[in-house]
Amino acid sequence: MSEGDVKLQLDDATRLALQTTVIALSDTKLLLGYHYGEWTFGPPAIEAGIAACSMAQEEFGHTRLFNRILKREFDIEIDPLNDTRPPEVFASIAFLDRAFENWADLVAANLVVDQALSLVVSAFADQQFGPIARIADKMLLEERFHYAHAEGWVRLMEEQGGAPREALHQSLSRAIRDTSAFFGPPGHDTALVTAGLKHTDDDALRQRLLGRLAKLLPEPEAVGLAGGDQGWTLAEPLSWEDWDSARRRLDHGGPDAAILDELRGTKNVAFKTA
Amino acid sequence: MIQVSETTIWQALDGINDPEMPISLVDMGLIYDISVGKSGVVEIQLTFTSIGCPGMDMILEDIREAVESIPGVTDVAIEVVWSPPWTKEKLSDRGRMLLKAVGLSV
Repeated sequence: MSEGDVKLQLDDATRLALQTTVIALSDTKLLLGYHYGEWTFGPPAIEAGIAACSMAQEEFGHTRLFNRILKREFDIEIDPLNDTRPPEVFASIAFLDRAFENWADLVAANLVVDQALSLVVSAFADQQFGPIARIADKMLLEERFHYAHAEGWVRLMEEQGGAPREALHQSLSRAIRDTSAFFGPPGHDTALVTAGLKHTDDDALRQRLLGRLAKLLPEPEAVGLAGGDQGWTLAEPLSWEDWDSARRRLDHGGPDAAILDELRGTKNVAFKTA
Repeated sequence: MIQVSETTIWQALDGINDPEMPISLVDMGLIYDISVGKSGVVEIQLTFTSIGCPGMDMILEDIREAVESIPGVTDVAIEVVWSPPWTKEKLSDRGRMLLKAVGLSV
Protein backbone atom coordinates (compact mmCIF):
# COMPACT_ATOMS: atom_id res chain seq x y z
CA MET A 1 0.00 0.00 0.00
CA SER A 2 1.23 3.45 -0.66
CA GLU A 3 1.85 5.45 2.48
CA GLY A 4 -1.13 7.71 1.90
CA ASP A 5 -3.67 4.92 1.67
CA VAL A 6 -6.35 4.59 4.28
CA LYS A 7 -6.69 1.16 5.83
CA LEU A 8 -9.78 -0.70 4.70
CA GLN A 9 -12.67 -0.59 7.11
CA LEU A 10 -13.56 -4.23 7.68
CA ASP A 11 -15.55 -6.05 10.31
CA ASP A 12 -13.55 -8.20 12.72
CA ALA A 13 -14.36 -11.53 11.05
CA THR A 14 -13.41 -10.32 7.58
CA ARG A 15 -10.27 -8.70 8.87
CA LEU A 16 -9.25 -11.91 10.62
CA ALA A 17 -9.92 -13.95 7.47
CA LEU A 18 -7.73 -11.56 5.48
CA GLN A 19 -4.97 -11.63 8.07
CA THR A 20 -5.04 -15.43 8.19
CA THR A 21 -4.73 -15.60 4.42
CA VAL A 22 -1.71 -13.29 4.36
CA ILE A 23 0.02 -15.24 7.14
CA ALA A 24 -0.62 -18.51 5.31
CA LEU A 25 0.81 -17.07 2.09
CA SER A 26 3.86 -15.76 3.92
CA ASP A 27 4.53 -18.93 5.91
CA THR A 28 4.02 -21.25 2.96
CA LYS A 29 6.22 -19.22 0.66
CA LEU A 30 8.93 -19.18 3.31
CA LEU A 31 8.89 -22.97 3.58
CA LEU A 32 8.64 -23.36 -0.18
CA GLY A 33 11.65 -21.09 -0.58
CA TYR A 34 13.54 -23.20 1.95
CA HIS A 35 12.92 -26.41 0.00
CA TYR A 36 13.80 -24.80 -3.33
CA GLY A 37 17.01 -23.53 -1.76
CA GLU A 38 17.84 -26.95 -0.37
CA TRP A 39 17.61 -28.40 -3.86
CA THR A 40 20.09 -26.01 -5.38
CA PHE A 41 22.40 -28.99 -4.96
CA GLY A 42 21.44 -32.57 -5.69
CA PRO A 43 18.85 -32.23 -8.45
CA PRO A 44 18.99 -34.46 -11.54
CA ALA A 45 20.39 -31.65 -13.73
CA ILE A 46 22.60 -28.64 -13.02
CA GLU A 47 20.06 -26.39 -14.73
CA ALA A 48 17.40 -27.66 -12.34
CA GLY A 49 19.56 -26.62 -9.39
CA ILE A 50 19.96 -23.16 -10.85
CA ALA A 51 16.22 -22.93 -11.37
CA ALA A 52 15.55 -24.09 -7.80
CA CYS A 53 17.97 -21.49 -6.45
CA SER A 54 16.31 -18.77 -8.50
CA MET A 55 12.84 -19.82 -7.37
CA ALA A 56 14.03 -19.79 -3.74
CA GLN A 57 15.14 -16.20 -4.12
CA GLU A 58 11.76 -15.22 -5.50
CA GLU A 59 9.78 -17.03 -2.82
CA PHE A 60 11.82 -15.34 -0.09
CA GLY A 61 11.18 -12.02 -1.80
CA HIS A 62 7.45 -12.72 -1.85
CA THR A 63 7.53 -13.67 1.82
CA ARG A 64 9.23 -10.38 2.61
CA LEU A 65 6.43 -8.48 0.84
CA PHE A 66 3.71 -10.36 2.69
CA ASN A 67 5.48 -9.71 5.98
CA ARG A 68 5.50 -6.00 5.21
CA ILE A 69 1.77 -6.16 4.57
CA LEU A 70 1.26 -7.94 7.89
CA LYS A 71 3.19 -5.26 9.71
CA ARG A 72 1.54 -2.31 8.03
CA GLU A 73 -2.02 -3.60 7.89
CA PHE A 74 -2.28 -5.84 10.93
CA ASP A 75 0.54 -4.73 13.24
CA ILE A 76 1.95 -8.25 13.10
CA GLU A 77 5.70 -8.51 12.90
CA ILE A 78 7.15 -11.67 11.41
CA ASP A 79 10.86 -11.55 10.86
CA PRO A 80 11.97 -15.01 9.69
CA LEU A 81 15.37 -14.67 11.38
CA ASN A 82 13.96 -13.63 14.74
CA ASP A 83 10.76 -15.64 14.63
CA THR A 84 10.12 -17.59 17.82
CA ARG A 85 6.79 -19.12 16.86
CA PRO A 86 6.62 -22.86 17.56
CA PRO A 87 6.05 -25.22 14.60
CA GLU A 88 2.44 -25.81 15.71
CA VAL A 89 1.60 -22.20 14.96
CA PHE A 90 2.85 -22.07 11.36
CA ALA A 91 0.19 -21.68 8.71
CA SER A 92 2.18 -23.43 5.99
CA ILE A 93 0.96 -26.27 3.81
CA ALA A 94 1.73 -29.59 5.51
CA PHE A 95 3.48 -31.04 2.46
CA LEU A 96 6.38 -28.72 3.26
CA ASP A 97 6.76 -29.86 6.89
CA ARG A 98 9.59 -32.29 6.32
CA ALA A 99 12.75 -32.49 4.21
CA PHE A 100 11.97 -33.68 0.71
CA GLU A 101 12.92 -37.30 0.10
CA ASN A 102 13.62 -36.91 -3.58
CA TRP A 103 13.28 -34.74 -6.66
CA ALA A 104 9.69 -35.89 -7.13
CA ASP A 105 8.75 -34.09 -3.89
CA LEU A 106 10.32 -30.91 -5.21
CA VAL A 107 8.45 -31.16 -8.50
CA ALA A 108 5.17 -31.85 -6.69
CA ALA A 109 5.62 -28.79 -4.48
CA ASN A 110 6.57 -26.76 -7.54
CA LEU A 111 3.50 -27.86 -9.47
CA VAL A 112 0.86 -28.03 -6.75
CA VAL A 113 1.81 -25.86 -3.78
CA ASP A 114 3.34 -23.04 -5.79
CA GLN A 115 0.41 -22.96 -8.19
CA ALA A 116 -2.12 -22.97 -5.33
CA LEU A 117 -0.51 -19.89 -3.80
CA SER A 118 -0.55 -18.14 -7.16
CA LEU A 119 -4.24 -18.89 -7.55
CA VAL A 120 -4.96 -17.28 -4.18
CA VAL A 121 -2.86 -14.23 -5.07
CA SER A 122 -4.60 -13.98 -8.44
CA ALA A 123 -7.98 -13.84 -6.68
CA PHE A 124 -6.85 -10.59 -5.02
CA ALA A 125 -5.73 -8.98 -8.29
CA ASP A 126 -7.78 -5.92 -9.30
CA GLN A 127 -9.73 -6.11 -6.03
CA GLN A 128 -10.11 -3.73 -3.11
CA PHE A 129 -7.24 -4.92 -0.94
CA GLY A 130 -4.58 -2.72 -2.47
CA PRO A 131 -1.52 -4.18 -0.72
CA ILE A 132 -1.96 -7.51 -2.51
CA ALA A 133 -3.69 -6.16 -5.61
CA ARG A 134 -0.68 -3.95 -6.35
CA ILE A 135 1.90 -6.73 -6.11
CA ALA A 136 -0.16 -9.43 -7.79
CA ASP A 137 0.86 -8.71 -11.39
CA LYS A 138 4.58 -8.80 -10.68
CA MET A 139 4.34 -11.81 -8.40
CA LEU A 140 2.29 -13.78 -10.92
CA LEU A 141 4.69 -12.81 -13.69
CA GLU A 142 7.52 -14.39 -11.69
CA GLU A 143 5.39 -17.40 -10.86
CA ARG A 144 4.77 -18.12 -14.55
CA PHE A 145 8.36 -19.35 -14.77
CA HIS A 146 7.90 -21.53 -11.70
CA TYR A 147 4.95 -23.19 -13.37
CA ALA A 148 6.83 -23.66 -16.63
CA HIS A 149 9.61 -25.40 -14.68
CA ALA A 150 7.17 -27.70 -12.90
CA GLU A 151 5.24 -28.50 -16.04
CA GLY A 152 8.42 -29.42 -17.91
CA TRP A 153 9.54 -31.83 -15.20
CA VAL A 154 6.12 -33.43 -14.86
CA ARG A 155 5.95 -34.10 -18.59
CA LEU A 156 9.49 -35.51 -18.53
CA MET A 157 8.89 -37.80 -15.55
CA GLU A 158 5.63 -39.02 -16.99
CA GLU A 159 7.44 -39.84 -20.20
CA GLN A 160 10.25 -41.60 -18.32
CA GLY A 161 7.69 -43.97 -16.79
CA GLY A 162 8.70 -46.63 -14.27
CA ALA A 163 10.19 -45.50 -10.96
CA PRO A 164 10.32 -41.74 -11.75
CA ARG A 165 6.66 -41.74 -12.73
CA GLU A 166 5.69 -43.78 -9.68
CA ALA A 167 7.62 -41.46 -7.34
CA LEU A 168 6.03 -38.43 -8.98
CA HIS A 169 2.55 -39.85 -8.49
CA GLN A 170 3.21 -40.60 -4.83
CA SER A 171 4.51 -37.09 -4.22
CA LEU A 172 1.70 -35.47 -6.17
CA SER A 173 -0.93 -37.47 -4.28
CA ARG A 174 0.34 -36.14 -0.94
CA ALA A 175 0.85 -32.62 -2.22
CA ILE A 176 -2.65 -32.51 -3.69
CA ARG A 177 -4.34 -33.62 -0.46
CA ASP A 178 -2.37 -31.23 1.75
CA THR A 179 -2.92 -28.38 -0.66
CA SER A 180 -6.63 -29.13 -0.96
CA ALA A 181 -6.79 -28.77 2.82
CA PHE A 182 -5.14 -25.35 2.51
CA PHE A 183 -8.13 -24.15 0.45
CA GLY A 184 -10.41 -25.05 3.36
CA PRO A 185 -14.03 -26.15 3.56
CA PRO A 186 -16.42 -24.64 1.01
CA GLY A 187 -17.67 -21.25 2.12
CA HIS A 188 -14.97 -20.55 4.70
CA ASP A 189 -13.87 -17.37 2.89
CA THR A 190 -17.24 -16.06 1.74
CA ALA A 191 -16.67 -12.89 3.77
CA LEU A 192 -13.62 -11.97 1.70
CA VAL A 193 -15.51 -12.36 -1.56
CA THR A 194 -18.58 -10.49 -0.28
CA ALA A 195 -16.36 -7.63 0.91
CA GLY A 196 -14.86 -7.33 -2.57
CA LEU A 197 -11.39 -8.35 -1.48
CA LYS A 198 -11.25 -11.51 -3.59
CA HIS A 199 -13.06 -12.22 -6.82
CA THR A 200 -13.11 -16.00 -6.43
CA ASP A 201 -13.56 -18.11 -3.33
CA ASP A 202 -11.14 -20.81 -2.26
CA ASP A 203 -13.46 -23.67 -3.14
CA ALA A 204 -13.58 -22.49 -6.76
CA LEU A 205 -9.81 -21.96 -6.71
CA ARG A 206 -9.29 -25.53 -5.48
CA GLN A 207 -11.53 -26.84 -8.28
CA ARG A 208 -9.55 -24.77 -10.75
CA LEU A 209 -6.27 -26.21 -9.47
CA LEU A 210 -7.51 -29.79 -9.60
CA GLY A 211 -8.88 -29.21 -13.09
CA ARG A 212 -5.54 -27.87 -14.30
CA LEU A 213 -3.69 -30.81 -12.77
CA ALA A 214 -6.08 -33.27 -14.38
CA LYS A 215 -5.53 -31.59 -17.72
CA LEU A 216 -1.75 -31.86 -17.42
CA LEU A 217 -1.53 -35.39 -16.07
CA PRO A 218 -2.13 -38.32 -18.44
CA GLU A 219 -3.75 -40.32 -15.65
CA PRO A 220 -5.33 -38.02 -13.02
CA GLU A 221 -6.76 -41.00 -11.15
CA ALA A 222 -3.21 -42.14 -10.33
CA VAL A 223 -2.73 -39.08 -8.07
CA GLY A 224 -6.03 -39.44 -6.23
CA LEU A 225 -8.29 -37.36 -8.45
CA ALA A 226 -11.75 -38.34 -9.62
CA GLY A 227 -14.09 -36.74 -12.09
CA GLY A 228 -14.13 -35.82 -15.73
CA ASP A 229 -15.63 -33.18 -17.97
CA GLN A 230 -17.85 -31.88 -15.17
CA GLY A 231 -14.88 -31.13 -12.95
CA TRP A 232 -12.34 -32.89 -10.77
CA THR A 233 -12.31 -33.57 -7.03
CA LEU A 234 -10.39 -35.74 -4.62
CA ALA A 235 -11.33 -39.40 -5.01
CA GLU A 236 -11.29 -39.61 -1.21
CA PRO A 237 -12.91 -36.40 0.05
CA LEU A 238 -11.38 -34.57 2.99
CA SER A 239 -13.18 -34.46 6.31
CA TRP A 240 -13.28 -30.91 7.62
CA GLU A 241 -14.07 -31.55 11.31
CA ASP A 242 -10.45 -31.06 12.36
CA TRP A 243 -9.68 -28.16 10.04
CA ASP A 244 -7.74 -25.43 11.79
CA SER A 245 -9.03 -22.21 10.26
CA ALA A 246 -6.19 -20.12 11.68
CA ARG A 247 -3.57 -22.32 10.04
CA ARG A 248 -5.63 -23.56 7.09
CA ARG A 249 -4.54 -27.11 7.81
CA LEU A 250 -5.98 -30.48 8.74
CA ASP A 251 -2.62 -31.79 9.96
CA HIS A 252 -2.07 -30.27 13.40
CA GLY A 253 1.71 -30.73 13.36
CA GLY A 254 4.07 -28.23 11.82
CA PRO A 255 7.41 -27.82 10.07
CA ASP A 256 10.30 -29.86 11.42
CA ALA A 257 12.19 -28.00 14.14
CA ALA A 258 15.41 -28.63 12.20
CA ILE A 259 14.01 -26.82 9.17
CA LEU A 260 12.96 -23.84 11.28
CA ASP A 261 16.40 -23.81 12.90
CA GLU A 262 18.02 -23.58 9.47
CA LEU A 263 15.63 -20.87 8.32
CA ARG A 264 16.31 -18.85 11.45
CA GLY A 265 20.05 -19.36 11.42
CA THR A 266 19.89 -20.74 14.95
CA LYS A 267 23.47 -22.02 14.79
CA ASN A 268 24.69 -18.64 13.65
CA VAL A 269 23.05 -16.33 16.14
CA ALA A 270 26.46 -15.05 17.20
CA PHE A 271 27.09 -13.76 13.68
CA LYS A 272 23.82 -11.90 13.22
CA THR A 273 24.20 -8.35 12.04
CA ALA A 274 20.87 -7.02 13.35
CA MET B 1 16.54 28.46 -0.98
CA ILE B 2 17.92 26.51 -3.94
CA GLN B 3 15.22 25.12 -6.24
CA VAL B 4 15.94 21.58 -7.37
CA SER B 5 14.72 20.46 -10.76
CA GLU B 6 13.47 17.01 -11.63
CA THR B 7 16.08 16.92 -14.41
CA THR B 8 18.81 17.21 -11.78
CA ILE B 9 17.41 14.23 -9.92
CA TRP B 10 17.11 12.16 -13.13
CA GLN B 11 20.74 13.01 -13.90
CA ALA B 12 21.83 11.97 -10.42
CA LEU B 13 20.07 8.62 -10.73
CA ASP B 14 21.55 8.16 -14.18
CA GLY B 15 24.91 8.12 -12.42
CA ILE B 16 24.00 5.07 -10.33
CA ASN B 17 24.61 1.72 -11.95
CA ASP B 18 22.49 -1.35 -11.36
CA PRO B 19 24.61 -3.66 -9.15
CA GLU B 20 24.20 -6.57 -11.57
CA MET B 21 24.12 -4.83 -14.94
CA PRO B 22 26.62 -2.37 -16.44
CA ILE B 23 23.98 0.30 -17.01
CA SER B 24 22.28 2.92 -14.87
CA LEU B 25 19.07 2.56 -12.92
CA VAL B 26 17.51 5.01 -15.38
CA ASP B 27 18.56 2.97 -18.42
CA MET B 28 17.29 -0.15 -16.69
CA GLY B 29 13.89 1.52 -16.59
CA LEU B 30 13.59 1.05 -12.84
CA ILE B 31 12.71 4.68 -12.09
CA TYR B 32 9.00 5.24 -12.70
CA ASP B 33 8.49 8.77 -11.45
CA ILE B 34 10.27 11.69 -9.82
CA SER B 35 8.73 14.79 -8.34
CA VAL B 36 10.24 17.64 -6.36
CA GLY B 37 8.18 19.63 -3.88
CA LYS B 38 8.67 23.35 -3.26
CA SER B 39 10.22 22.59 0.12
CA GLY B 40 12.90 20.45 -1.53
CA VAL B 41 11.38 17.08 -0.72
CA VAL B 42 12.11 14.63 -3.53
CA GLU B 43 9.67 11.80 -4.15
CA ILE B 44 10.89 8.87 -6.19
CA GLN B 45 8.83 5.94 -7.36
CA LEU B 46 10.78 2.95 -8.54
CA THR B 47 10.57 -0.77 -9.06
CA PHE B 48 12.99 -3.68 -9.20
CA THR B 49 13.54 -6.41 -11.75
CA SER B 50 12.59 -9.09 -9.24
CA ILE B 51 10.67 -9.09 -5.94
CA GLY B 52 13.50 -11.12 -4.44
CA CYS B 53 16.18 -8.77 -5.74
CA PRO B 54 19.08 -9.10 -3.27
CA GLY B 55 20.42 -5.68 -4.26
CA MET B 56 17.31 -3.84 -3.16
CA ASP B 57 18.69 -2.27 0.02
CA MET B 58 21.96 -1.39 -1.70
CA ILE B 59 20.16 0.38 -4.55
CA LEU B 60 17.88 2.29 -2.17
CA GLU B 61 20.87 3.38 -0.15
CA ASP B 62 22.75 4.49 -3.28
CA ILE B 63 19.75 6.55 -4.38
CA ARG B 64 19.29 8.14 -1.00
CA GLU B 65 22.96 9.03 -0.76
CA ALA B 66 23.12 10.49 -4.27
CA VAL B 67 19.95 12.55 -4.01
CA GLU B 68 20.51 13.81 -0.47
CA SER B 69 23.86 15.23 -1.53
CA ILE B 70 22.22 17.53 -4.09
CA PRO B 71 22.05 21.13 -2.80
CA GLY B 72 18.46 22.13 -2.09
CA VAL B 73 17.19 18.62 -1.37
CA THR B 74 15.70 18.53 2.13
CA ASP B 75 14.38 14.98 2.18
CA VAL B 76 13.98 11.92 -0.03
CA ALA B 77 10.86 9.75 -0.04
CA ILE B 78 11.24 6.54 -1.98
CA GLU B 79 8.28 4.37 -2.83
CA VAL B 80 8.85 0.87 -4.21
CA VAL B 81 6.03 -0.19 -6.52
CA TRP B 82 5.39 -3.46 -8.35
CA SER B 83 2.76 -2.29 -10.76
CA PRO B 84 3.26 -2.05 -13.64
CA PRO B 85 5.75 -4.89 -13.32
CA TRP B 86 9.23 -4.42 -14.74
CA THR B 87 9.96 -6.26 -17.95
CA LYS B 88 12.86 -5.84 -20.36
CA GLU B 89 10.59 -3.59 -22.43
CA LYS B 90 11.34 -0.93 -19.81
CA LEU B 91 15.02 -0.75 -20.87
CA SER B 92 15.98 2.49 -22.58
CA ASP B 93 17.37 2.35 -26.13
CA ARG B 94 20.77 3.27 -24.74
CA GLY B 95 20.53 0.57 -22.06
CA ARG B 96 19.53 -2.02 -24.64
CA MET B 97 22.48 -1.07 -26.81
CA LEU B 98 24.93 -1.24 -23.90
CA LEU B 99 23.66 -4.62 -22.77
CA LYS B 100 23.91 -6.00 -26.29
CA ALA B 101 27.46 -4.70 -26.42
CA VAL B 102 28.39 -6.90 -23.44
CA GLY B 103 26.76 -9.92 -25.03
CA LEU B 104 23.38 -9.96 -23.33
CA SER B 105 20.31 -10.87 -25.33
CA VAL B 106 17.67 -8.19 -24.77
